Amino acid sequence: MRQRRAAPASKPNKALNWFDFFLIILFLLCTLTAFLTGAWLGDRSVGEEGRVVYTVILSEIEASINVSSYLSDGEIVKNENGTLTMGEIIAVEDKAHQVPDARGGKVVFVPSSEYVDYYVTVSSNAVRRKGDGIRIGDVRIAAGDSMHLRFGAFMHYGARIIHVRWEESEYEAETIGHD
Amino acid sequence: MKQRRLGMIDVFLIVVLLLSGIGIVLRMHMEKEKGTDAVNSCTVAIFARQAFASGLDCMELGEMLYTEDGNAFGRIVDIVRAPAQIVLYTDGRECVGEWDEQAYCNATLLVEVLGRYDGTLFLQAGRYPIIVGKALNLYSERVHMTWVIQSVKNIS
Repeated sequence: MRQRRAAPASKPNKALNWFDFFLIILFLLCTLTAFLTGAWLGDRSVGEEGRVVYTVILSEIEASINVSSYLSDGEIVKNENGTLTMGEIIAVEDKAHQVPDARGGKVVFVPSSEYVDYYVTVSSNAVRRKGDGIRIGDVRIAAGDSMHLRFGAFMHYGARIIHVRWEESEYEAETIGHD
Repeated sequence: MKQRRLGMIDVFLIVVLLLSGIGIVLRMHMEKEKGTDAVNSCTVAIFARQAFASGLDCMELGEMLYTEDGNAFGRIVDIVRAPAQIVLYTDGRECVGEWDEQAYCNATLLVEVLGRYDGTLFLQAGRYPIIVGKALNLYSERVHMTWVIQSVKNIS
């Protein structure tokens, strides 16, 4: 029995032709140029990864609160919500809070027996960009800024950054002197 | 001979190409504009009272200061520290002392700012007026502080 073979249907030619290739190559070249010149992302496109070592002061903490147990080396520091790791503690120094007092016509600083200041040095991976500073995630790390930090089960509101260092390989992590 | 019509991909690529081109041209134009605005320079003294001394250690001479928007403000030429005063009142008497200089100090930065001088005002980057007494929120790479403009000099 003879079978009739249907004539092949004329399919549209979906293969890319020279014009498509030309456009794609042009597009890629344009993207590459734009990326290299920073046309889209600007200087912020180039970031240097490294380590930031910063010191925060936890000021006027009541001496009756046993904070030392939360502030130990290696303890992970998080942001207020616990959603971002701000680094790990590498050094802690505690000092009695100094209270200014007028004695004999002079201003003297008297160590408080009620309050303690903690200088906590934290180290973290970070990204440094020209004009955008040093950031851990979205958080900019700059001396003079304050942030809410969580040290395990201890929370401190308004921890003030007093020193920031971009970690170079030749330096060892160290606390900043607060004599 | 077959006639070829532009497909969706072609149209998409052409639109993206056009947008890229416009973006690059605009960007180059903006950069050019920035450059032409800076025809003068001046030295601006900015002041901060009771600054954290260890924070000032994080600033370096020659470093660029940036505004909150990320625009360059000027380059640090000098950092001058002075003792920060503390005033207490006891029994109606004023008692003046100084903070420990390791903790707090008053700081003055001399910053070289580029811009345009119109005969009355110095416009930083040709746009932002430098006015004595104006507060500035400035970032260096590792420091964020609020400064007050103290003086403008050496306009050239």
